[in-house]
Amino acid sequence: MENMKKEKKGLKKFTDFALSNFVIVAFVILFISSYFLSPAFFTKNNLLSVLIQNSIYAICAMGMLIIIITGGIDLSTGAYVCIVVCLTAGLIQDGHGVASIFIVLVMALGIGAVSGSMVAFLNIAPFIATLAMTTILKGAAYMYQTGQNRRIDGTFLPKWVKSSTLGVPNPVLVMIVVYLVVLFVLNRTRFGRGIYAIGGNKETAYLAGIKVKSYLVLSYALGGMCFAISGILLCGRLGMGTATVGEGYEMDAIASVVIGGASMNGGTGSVTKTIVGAMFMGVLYNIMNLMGIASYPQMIVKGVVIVLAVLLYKTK
Amino acid sequence: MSNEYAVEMRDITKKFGGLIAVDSVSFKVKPGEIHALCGENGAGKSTLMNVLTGKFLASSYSGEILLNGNKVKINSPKDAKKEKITIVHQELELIPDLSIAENIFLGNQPTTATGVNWKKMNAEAQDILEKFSLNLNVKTKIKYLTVGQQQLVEIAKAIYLGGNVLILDEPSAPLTGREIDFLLATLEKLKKTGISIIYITHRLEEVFKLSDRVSVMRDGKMIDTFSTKEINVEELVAAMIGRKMENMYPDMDTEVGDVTLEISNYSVPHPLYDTNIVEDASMKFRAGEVVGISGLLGAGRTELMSAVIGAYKMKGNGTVKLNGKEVKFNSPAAAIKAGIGYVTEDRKMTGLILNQSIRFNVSMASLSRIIEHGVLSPSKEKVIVNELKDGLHIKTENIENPVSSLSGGNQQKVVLAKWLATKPGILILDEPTRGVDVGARFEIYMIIKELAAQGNTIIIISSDLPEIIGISNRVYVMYEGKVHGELLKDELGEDSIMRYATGIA
Repeated sequence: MENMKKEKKGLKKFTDFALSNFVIVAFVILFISSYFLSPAFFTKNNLLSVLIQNSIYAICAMGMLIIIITGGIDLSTGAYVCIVVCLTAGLIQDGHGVASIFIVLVMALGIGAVSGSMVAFLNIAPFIATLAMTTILKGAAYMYQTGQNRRIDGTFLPKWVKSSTLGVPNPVLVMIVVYLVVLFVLNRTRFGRGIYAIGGNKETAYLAGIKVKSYLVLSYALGGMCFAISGILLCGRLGMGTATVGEGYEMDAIASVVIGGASMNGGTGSVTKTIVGAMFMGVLYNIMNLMGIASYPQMIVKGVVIVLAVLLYKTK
Repeated sequence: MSNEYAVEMRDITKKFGGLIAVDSVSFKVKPGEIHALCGENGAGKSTLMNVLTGKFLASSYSGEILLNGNKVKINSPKDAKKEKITIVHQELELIPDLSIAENIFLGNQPTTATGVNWKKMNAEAQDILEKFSLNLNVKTKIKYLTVGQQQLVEIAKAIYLGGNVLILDEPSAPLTGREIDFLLATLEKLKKTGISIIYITHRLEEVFKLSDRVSVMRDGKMIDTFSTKEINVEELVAAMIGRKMENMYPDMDTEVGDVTLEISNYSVPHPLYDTNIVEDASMKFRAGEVVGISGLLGAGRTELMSAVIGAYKMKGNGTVKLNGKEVKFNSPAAAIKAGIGYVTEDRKMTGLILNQSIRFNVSMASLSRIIEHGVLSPSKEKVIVNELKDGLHIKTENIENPVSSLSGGNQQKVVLAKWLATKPGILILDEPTRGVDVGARFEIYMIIKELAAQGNTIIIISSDLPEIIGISNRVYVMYEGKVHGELLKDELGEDSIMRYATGIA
């Protein structure tokens, strides 16, 4: 009797854990099933390529997370990636070398600050402000890119992106660094506390002395910087500048954040679960590819997974 | 069947959980009379009217309702509409972006084969407005009207819907003097058409100006119904407040020191209209003193204090001195830095972040205390929060529990803990015990007194008369945005406060 009670309590604890860390449990299950579903899955080459490929998405997702925690959203992720790919290649071609990276990052910070200011000071809905920013950035990217050849093969960036440090592919290394920084910022700084408070209840946060407006601006700026880091890595992988990239990145980033358990209303969200969310989507795509499932059915599966994830978090 | 009463409610009892909101109340309204319904906040007036207008299922309360002598069951607002009972709530229910005509005919538009018959609708709406001698274009959007005009449109709509019984819940609260006169005149006219009007109000002048009879509720019970001609102000006030004072206010002598906060000639503009919501207010607060600010809802108390600390949407004009030095707070952050804490009136909307833990909520306003070299120290945070949790007896096993898991009283203590964590020299508490059970109330009063004894300045805004009398050294009473009176400890009484608060004194 006593034992059964204990067991029941243990079971309840487990289901609670499983529900609030649904994405981690789901990832483990997906990973193990993939092992049995395709012999090509659990090979070093395949796993590394999944990791490298998705580090770019995961970094975008972490940027998106910061913004979603405030209760906002940034639809211009893909446009950032697009213009950053073009500009990075262009600046490297113009001979700015490593400085190109810093120029692009500062610029992204500035673009984010503009989006954030529209939200914080002009009270424009985040959806609209960043939608407008999307077309502005896209337009600028095309204007900069049209008629230009922006190949940068052989320069430092493609070389670095394609190599490894201490056995870790550099894009994955960047993802880990971004992860640690975001983890620290969200949990150990006044700003991190502040944005959770803003997303939870803006009015309460303001009355508690939290600098709501400047924190909003900073959130969009930091988000923009994450998107730019992804763009730089993508530029290195492609070895050229092109304005045809970035399509749909915002949706993948939002999906990762939501699968990671954050609420679109703001105030919640974990960076660890967001990364796992991004990797979950990556492994799901990978195994479907390995199994020879065509890309359209894949899209349907992705949509179903997002809905299921949200429903499961709701039952908690 | 007698038709003496248009509405007769018999032995109505309505409970919310264990709380009896309305306790075997009987209430009768004659046809063609204006019947005032009075009582303090929380006396049960609104609940009684909600019963009558179908907000609750008939099975959720006991007692019966008769209309013109016929027993009826009112299960929904729709039923109430069918019985021609309409209510105009305090919060207006008009749609700001639609025109006057569209609002009046909402869901009921005259149609042609192809859609709304705009011509007919606008003409009929104009007719209705003319009956009210309202000189407005029916095509004007609601949002361009003053609150007073909106109120009158809402009443016009209620009449159009064919009310036999019209209930007005504090209709004059947002109105200016002239608009009130106009409203009262309109109601007089309406009454002559045989409509029964139930008029809920805090303003005793209006009761005497307007009503034929007046019923008084207190603590969920119907105290009495009087013919307005046969009663005077004193008797009415006595009926409203005549409850025993419970001795739950800790007696603690505190030493009153120097003036810490001084507000002089302070005005706050109305956010929407070209008037002042607070007019020329002057107040002084001293160290070691508990000062109450009393007044009715909408008297401008909250607006005054939140404007002073920079939390109100409008900037106030006037001087604020902190320890003799003139200051101006542009945001709550600045006020917190200067050592002023503000416990807001609505803990769910402005006091707590409900999806976060107790720890998160308590430390939110005092992060600078737990930051070392720019980094939050979780261990330091735990110590501070646990200390406050124990000091305030917040009942929880773990400070990591979500704040939403606590009872109302404990939630309020979390809000209090949040402000105590900032170590404020001046603490403003706005309705600090609203929705708080008796036990937690007493604890909150103890904390307030202790803080004062330590030499802090405490300012309490409260609509609860026994509370403000029991806890304060001194009370300012506000009425319609002005400081209407200052009462010292030995002058404090429910009737003296009520007189100032209702504008009689």
